[in-house]
Amino acid sequence: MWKLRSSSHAGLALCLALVSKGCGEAPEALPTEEALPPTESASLPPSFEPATVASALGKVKNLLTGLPVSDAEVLAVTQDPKALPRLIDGWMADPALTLRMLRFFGNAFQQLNLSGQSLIDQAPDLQPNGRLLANVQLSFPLTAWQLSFVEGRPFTEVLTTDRFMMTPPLATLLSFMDNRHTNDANRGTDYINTADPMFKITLSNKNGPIALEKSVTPGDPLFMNWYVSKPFPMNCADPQILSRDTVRLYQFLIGNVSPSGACPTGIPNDSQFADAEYDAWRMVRVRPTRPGEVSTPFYDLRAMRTGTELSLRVPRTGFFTTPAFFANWATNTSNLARVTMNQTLIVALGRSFDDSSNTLPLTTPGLDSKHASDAACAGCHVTLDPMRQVFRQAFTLTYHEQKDPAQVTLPGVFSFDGINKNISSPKDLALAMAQHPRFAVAWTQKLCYWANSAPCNEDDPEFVRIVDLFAQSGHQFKVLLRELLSSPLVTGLAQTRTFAENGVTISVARRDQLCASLSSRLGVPNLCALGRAPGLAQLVPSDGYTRGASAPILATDPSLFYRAATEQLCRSFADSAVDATVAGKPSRYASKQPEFALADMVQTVMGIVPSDPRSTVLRQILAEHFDKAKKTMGITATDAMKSTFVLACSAPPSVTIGL
Amino acid sequence: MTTEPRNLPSRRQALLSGLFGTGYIGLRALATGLPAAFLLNPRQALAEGCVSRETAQYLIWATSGSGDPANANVPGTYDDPGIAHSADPQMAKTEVTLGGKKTFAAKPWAELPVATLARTSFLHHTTLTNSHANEGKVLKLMGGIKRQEMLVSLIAKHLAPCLGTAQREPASVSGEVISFGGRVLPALTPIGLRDVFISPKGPLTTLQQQRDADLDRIHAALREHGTTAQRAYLDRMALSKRELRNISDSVLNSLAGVTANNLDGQVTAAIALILMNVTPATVLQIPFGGDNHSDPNLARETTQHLSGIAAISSIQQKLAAAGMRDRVTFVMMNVFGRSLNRPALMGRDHLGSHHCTVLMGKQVASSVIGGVVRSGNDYAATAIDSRTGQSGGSADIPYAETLGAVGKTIASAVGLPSEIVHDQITLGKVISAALVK
Repeated sequence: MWKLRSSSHAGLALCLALVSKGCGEAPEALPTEEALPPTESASLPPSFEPATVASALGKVKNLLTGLPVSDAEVLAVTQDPKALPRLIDGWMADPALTLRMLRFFGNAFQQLNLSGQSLIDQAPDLQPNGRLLANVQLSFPLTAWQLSFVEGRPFTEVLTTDRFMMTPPLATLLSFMDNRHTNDANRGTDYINTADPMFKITLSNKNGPIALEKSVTPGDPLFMNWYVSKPFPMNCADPQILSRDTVRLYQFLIGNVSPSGACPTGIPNDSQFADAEYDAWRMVRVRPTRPGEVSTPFYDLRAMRTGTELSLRVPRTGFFTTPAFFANWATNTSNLARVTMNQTLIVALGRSFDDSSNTLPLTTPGLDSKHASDAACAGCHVTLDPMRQVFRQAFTLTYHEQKDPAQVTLPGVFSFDGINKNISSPKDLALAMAQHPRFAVAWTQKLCYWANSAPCNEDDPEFVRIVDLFAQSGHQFKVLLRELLSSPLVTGLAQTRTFAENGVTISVARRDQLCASLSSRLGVPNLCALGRAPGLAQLVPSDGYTRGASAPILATDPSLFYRAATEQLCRSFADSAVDATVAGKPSRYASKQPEFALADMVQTVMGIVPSDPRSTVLRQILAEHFDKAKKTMGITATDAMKSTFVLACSAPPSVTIGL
Repeated sequence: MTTEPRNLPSRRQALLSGLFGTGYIGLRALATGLPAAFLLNPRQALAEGCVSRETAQYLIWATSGSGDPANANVPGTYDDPGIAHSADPQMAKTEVTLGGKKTFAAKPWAELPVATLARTSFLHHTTLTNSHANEGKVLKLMGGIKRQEMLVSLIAKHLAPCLGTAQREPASVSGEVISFGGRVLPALTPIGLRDVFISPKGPLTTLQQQRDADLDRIHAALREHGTTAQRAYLDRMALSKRELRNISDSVLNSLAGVTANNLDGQVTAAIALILMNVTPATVLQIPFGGDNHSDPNLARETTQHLSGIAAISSIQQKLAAAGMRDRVTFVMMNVFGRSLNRPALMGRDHLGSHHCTVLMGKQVASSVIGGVVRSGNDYAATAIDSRTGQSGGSADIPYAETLGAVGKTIASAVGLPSEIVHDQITLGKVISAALVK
């Protein structure tokens, strides 16, 4: 089978520097296991202690659904370890898994963390509202979910797909971005204005609503006449006739129109999209605009709402060409898409560039001549530059379609770990990565990080077994998820080479895990969106990724900030959990029914099943707390029960993965 | 029954071993972003990783994407009579001495305490943009920093090992978007920080001690049945609770005083995060007039200059009270300045060609660096002589590199060694005239 080769630390560091700007840059400390010094073995745990079945199942079920395990489930696996995969199949059918996986995909495909300014290169005049920005970030995670869980497609299609989940506002945004080209010299072209130099729009609040059909149909007397839903401000003439102003047309479609010389305060307006349309997801195939074809105009909201196909000039293939990915990894005249290529490799194959590749490219198009002559730099540039050329060939520095003949006629070369191919489009790059043996390794490893907050040893026979199963299944993601989560690599029920060399990691429940699991357990949707919780939850670390690092950012430590934030969050949750009515339903706990409450807090909030030897003593501690608190002067039974809930909620089992 | 794990380490040990663990080094390196060498031997690594322990400074960074007219009334803008200033007496042209040289500024600037002015530099430069949306790019010195890092993040990353802070990332308490290593950092709010550390009065707070005692019992019960790894983790959780209860009363009292996410709240939160040694750099926003296209008689500009300069003065006072005045450098750098040629005094438009960064700290020489000249219909920053700080014939920093030069100067003022400054920041040169010799 394919074997991971060792990498050169120095070379890796040098090349990480290279993908940022240029050769010779001081390498950064690498947050990867590859940077470990050889003395680590001195700190290895002396012996392996297997987890209990209850602890192992609690971890797996919590990861998938946020819910606690039952005694029956523990018993089933205790009697027959082969029952675990079947249980996992059942847990994977829980609707809660969707949110878990969307968050995982969002991070793994590096589609998150955008701000209102993130799209400035791709759409300089855009002021995206929060819902639109959320659409941009959610599109690919939903695409990956649709492909792998709903349609059962091979997971390699996350690289090659030309179908993406879209909402009508998102389709409109993509088309709007497509209309405004910016070249490498940062000069813009508006295709609609170029095709029709007399293009103009008329905005008016007079004469009532205009049917969309009329506004968007060329030749109709009311073509490009739009009804503004609110009266014009005093200092704006009604109608406003705007020439060659596709930006304000787009603004009109999504809401208010920005100030102009003729209307210095702007025009207030309701969006053409209803709130529900930001949640109306469907798969849309994106295809390249054919020669001579006029691509779908962004203002044709009929097509944006119902079309199953969108013709765009900007190539869109897989995760690495989405507006969100490009927004995360802006490039410039110095970097020349090296960062784009490197982050693409990190996501797809779990590896960053280094100069230890044993594969020399077939040819070296795009090789930076300055660095190629410097021996210290050439090792990286000779592989990276020809590979990043595929981005330069297809995209400008602002990620619009490339039209510069010097770039368009210069294809790239993919050469990485034994695979060497000429590539002349993003699709070619996608296929090269999809066929690469690292793909299965990389995604098994990403799930290891997700489940364990730590890497698996890629030489571990158990890891290799799962990689093989994943590949043999035709890269079925559900197979990978089931096999890994039922493996000792995650359950800790048996020794593995990973544990022998790295030890067992126990981690805090990070923000998404904590909020999701307590929401599920208390039966209160979006618990972290209620009351004081949103501000408090910001202090709980979340999963993340960073430039140049092949490993995700996963805070595991229960620092005093984590302690403080979870304590206060639990206090906030107590208001929804005890003696309250939430969304018309009584809260889970009533101070008048302490027996049920105390037992359930141990089993449901803390996730400790009754058969667990810790259950009795924990219940006793909670009961004593409740009784003593109730007797405290000025404390009501409700207060006492809330305090008991806070105690249970902030106790280690409730805020930890793997305890 | 045992209520606390025995042989708890000291607070200092807790910081080193608790924050970064005693095993699972690879994971912790991943989680913290710190080099594994640091995690294996923190003390040694601190010595090795610290780039300049003697000169390392914490940083309070004020920035605004509004493009406030903070450039319009600073020293250096009163020599040309064509430059418009508020006619309000509170903003009157007032003589001020900086670095032994007499100049003029708006009254609130001139009336800063002498001790503050003695460590303040006003650096005139361009930001090379007049677009609000480019704030992030300006903080990255418009492409002048390798890896497209923001200057505040570059500084924080290198100084964290020297300062021993809990995190390397800056902490923004203003809502301004700050990135670190390509990822956008969460925006903290002063209220959020207060609410995490200050428990509201009420029955649940009354019962806190009882909960703490019972939580210790839960830790003990869990330890009894735990594996080695689980016991180590539980010890760390117990320790974090102790750390939480031991935060100094003065810090907690100051946080308790936060009533809003306004400027006062931001100042309090920014200083508290430094005093708690959470981060090397905090980011806040100090309004100096905002996006004042329409500002009759420059009234908002006047009001917010008074409150903004008072806030800067308050920061200095609070740092002095905490004994941290010599350990914290203050910077104010916005996305762009605003038009200076506005005789009608009805507001100001965006001006990419001129901005003034305000720099205060122990390593900062009292000075006015560079200046402004007429350019087209408005004004622009001049080229700068790095040795004298003056504009004119001997200038060795061209106009287009003044932003990079200011960045290098800030980095030098907070203690980054010159080899890192010159390697990481690719434009301009250090303005030695702005730094203590």
